[in-house]
Amino acid sequence: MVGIYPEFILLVVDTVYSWARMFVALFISMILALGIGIWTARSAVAGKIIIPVVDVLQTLPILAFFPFAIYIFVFYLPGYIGINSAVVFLIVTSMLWNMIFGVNEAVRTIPNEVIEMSRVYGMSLYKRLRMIFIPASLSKLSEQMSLSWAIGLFYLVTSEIFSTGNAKYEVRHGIGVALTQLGASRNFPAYLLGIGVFVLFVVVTRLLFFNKFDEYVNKYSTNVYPRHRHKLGLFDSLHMINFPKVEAGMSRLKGYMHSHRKLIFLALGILILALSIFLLLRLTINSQNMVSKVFYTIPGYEAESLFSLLLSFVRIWGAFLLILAISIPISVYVVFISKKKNTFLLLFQIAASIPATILLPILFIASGGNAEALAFMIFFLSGIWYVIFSILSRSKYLQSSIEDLQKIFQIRGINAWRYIYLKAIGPGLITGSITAIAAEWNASIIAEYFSSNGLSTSVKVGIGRLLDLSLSSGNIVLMLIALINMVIMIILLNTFLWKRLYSKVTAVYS
Amino acid sequence: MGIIDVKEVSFSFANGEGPKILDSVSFDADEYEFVSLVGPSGCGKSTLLRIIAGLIHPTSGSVSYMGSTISQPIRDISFVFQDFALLPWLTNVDNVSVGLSHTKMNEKEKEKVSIEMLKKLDLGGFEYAYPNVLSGGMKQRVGLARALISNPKVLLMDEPFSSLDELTARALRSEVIRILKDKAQSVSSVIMVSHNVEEAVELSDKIVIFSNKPTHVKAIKQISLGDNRNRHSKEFMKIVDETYSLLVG
Repeated sequence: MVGIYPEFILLVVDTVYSWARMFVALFISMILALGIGIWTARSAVAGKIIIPVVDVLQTLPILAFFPFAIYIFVFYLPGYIGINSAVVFLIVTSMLWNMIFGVNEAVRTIPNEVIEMSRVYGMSLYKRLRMIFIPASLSKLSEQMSLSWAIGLFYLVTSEIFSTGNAKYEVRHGIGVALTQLGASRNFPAYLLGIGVFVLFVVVTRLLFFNKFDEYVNKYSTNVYPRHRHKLGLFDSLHMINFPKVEAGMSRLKGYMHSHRKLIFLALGILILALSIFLLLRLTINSQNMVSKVFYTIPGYEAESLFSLLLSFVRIWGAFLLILAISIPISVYVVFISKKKNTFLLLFQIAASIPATILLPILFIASGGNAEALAFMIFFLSGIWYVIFSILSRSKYLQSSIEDLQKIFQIRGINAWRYIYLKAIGPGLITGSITAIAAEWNASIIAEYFSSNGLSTSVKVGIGRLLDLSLSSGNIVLMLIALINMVIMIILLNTFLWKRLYSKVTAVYS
Repeated sequence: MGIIDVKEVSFSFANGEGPKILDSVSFDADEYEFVSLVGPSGCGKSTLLRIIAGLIHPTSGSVSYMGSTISQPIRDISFVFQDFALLPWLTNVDNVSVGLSHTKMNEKEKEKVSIEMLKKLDLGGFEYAYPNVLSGGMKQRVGLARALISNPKVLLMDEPFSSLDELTARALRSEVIRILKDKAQSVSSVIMVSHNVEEAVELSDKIVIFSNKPTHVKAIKQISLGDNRNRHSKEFMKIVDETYSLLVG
């Protein structure tokens, strides 16, 4: 016990470092969300261009861009500042999108009379922002911030863990770093204590910051426009990602994709192409020889990326199939059969508040050092909660009469599965699957390759491994090609598989 | 003794610990009788209907069907929901088939019978559509088809017309009367919750009038208007007035 106290203090200090990154990222996200959200709501043109792009961005596994972000940030801001900026930047990219949608929606639903009033009294832009747009957005912003925080935690921990073991890119202090080092040195009492500290910080932040902030902004805004409010519970929405966000995005995209499909693909294509040319030129500008060398190696890089992508795809979808096999019966049991839904929800939320990547040292031992088994376990744990919570959160919208219906018409056994359970969970299952698979891709940079203080794992071939190795060897061309391949695959899958499936399943709900 | 016997039923939420919703309610429904339960909104009529259906248990008292106490839903008693309770992900024909879940029929037979039932209720052509393309009145007809398809003896209806506009509700009420008079169908007793006195007088043989907080039976009024009731006739208006007086008195 004597040794635990200094450990405890150190763990708290490390968590404070991590939380500092989180709050800086949250603050930046708030400012950006207010700016972009209000702008896109008030300007039809901005809304038409930016909102579809944000929709695409939110389904991409941006964490896979982390090696690339580190490279860019450390290139311009060397050392400690650079790597921390990269981490904060990554967290912002995980927090921002749903917050933009929240603000956008809040501003769009401001009664027209209020806007007209501001015109009648000749209010300046500054006054309109301060007196109308920002106050009206705060309630929705608060709701979305709470969700963003949960997503951000996963990004924070994973990017911290990723940075350990590489002196050039290490963040040094952070709970993710501390836990990985403790796990690697097999100091398990301190490791478990660290997980306890992490969960404690999650709970305290929710109670002392998010709940208070939510109370404050709602006291403030309900007087302006009364609206139906969902009170945030202790663990409410913890790690639940914003399924409503994904759903809303899906329905919006259905429309956009029909009318602007070509335009979106064209814009994305041009963006990726421009970025690639810029980087290639940048890299080759100093060496004439490099030009021919780079272009000579591109087909080889492309082949390597595609092969890596294929193997990662098999792992990720394999883990996803197991996720389905387990999460569907569990969710059906909790939603339709169990009488203790709230107890299960609380248990799940506590379990899900621990990012899967933080469990790396334990999983390392559990897998017996088998890299494939370890990757599979991390993928599984990264994705499963998204499916379960998505189904549970969607079940709120099921008619309360379903239970009566089942009893009256005695719909049991196979009939219950056929007529009710499997169909009722459909929309939640699809949105959960999209977020789960994105989370799995996100985790790939840790799951497929990791090396620090005697804790090392590496699959033979995989996109996460390729991204990690291309960073450490400084091969930015290979990294970029791998990223572009992955992004294209995910966009194609979202468009041709998930969106179609979602449209088909939800068509009957309108 | 009626087909359905409600005997001194009391009910409180929170396992009997909460405030009393129903206080010693008794009435019965005889064979070939249409009984309406009328009372102020929020007085517990729907709770009572759910007790009769066996969906919830009374805190004290009992409900029996042909002499046996009802403790859970039984095949002879079917239910029409206020909000239709159609499953949006099933086609109309599958929604109706749900009413045959407890039978041993194979899928083909179920489908055939369900299509016939939909046709009987003027929903031919909509068999394989989903509920979202139907109007409110059509949705309730699917709900009615599902309730009738299992040939129940007793039909419980929880404000079946309250989600519909007046014109649609009127058409559907005539339809219900037509169906219930059809000798080929099995229903012999109907118990309907309503907050609309005119509707209750138009359809019922007997109206049970409730008072509020806690709900108890204030009066039971027999309606002897015979078939083909005219809403504008003097007798009809008189009974409506009498029922209103009992309700507010």
